[in-house]
Amino acid sequence: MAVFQLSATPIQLDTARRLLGTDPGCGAYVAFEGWVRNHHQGRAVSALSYRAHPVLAVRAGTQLVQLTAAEPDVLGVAAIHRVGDLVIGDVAVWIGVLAGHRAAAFQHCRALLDRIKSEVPIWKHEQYTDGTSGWTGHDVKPP
Amino acid sequence: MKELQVTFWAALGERFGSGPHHLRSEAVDCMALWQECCMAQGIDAATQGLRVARNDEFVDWGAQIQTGDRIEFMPPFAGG
Repeated sequence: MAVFQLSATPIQLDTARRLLGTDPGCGAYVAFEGWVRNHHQGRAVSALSYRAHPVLAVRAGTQLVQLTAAEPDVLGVAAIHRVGDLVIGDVAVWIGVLAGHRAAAFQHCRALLDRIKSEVPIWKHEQYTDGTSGWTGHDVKPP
Repeated sequence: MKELQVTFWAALGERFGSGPHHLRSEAVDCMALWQECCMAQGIDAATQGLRVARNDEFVDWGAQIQTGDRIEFMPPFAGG
């Protein structure tokens, strides 16, 4: 089982967990929840939104979960990333990995998260408590 | 002259306007189009960390463009 989804509605953790199914050879289940926090690089965050490329994000995310599912000892992988408007405490991303042993489950859960952050076309727009806002991670510079 | 549909995502959209913009250009490849857009806005045409897609496929900056293509410029991804 290898699933990647974008979700415009709050991630339902019980539903997400069921995406993984079950496997009698599974000895470990590791899940990661990324939450919206109220600060970023010293600035107080009040809310944020995620935008994703509707075609390329799903394709890139699906390729990543499929690559993870093909790793030795991995028995199931699923990942869900929110899009749209979120508030502090919301789950922004969820990843679940089933594996025969805990080492593989921890390792591939973390690796998949890192690759989703850097390889899937999703962007975060933060709103700050001082009334300003901005996209994270990139500044357009004058020549 | 090629007729193109050009979109700028996230932070790039704030500078160029998100689009999609319907542009006419003589640019032969994605790099030339990017440089053309940057020159018009008076900003640095550096591509470090940026990605470009043509017709819903990631491509290299040297990818050729043809009339009718949909070109999308993207800043570094920032999910999670």
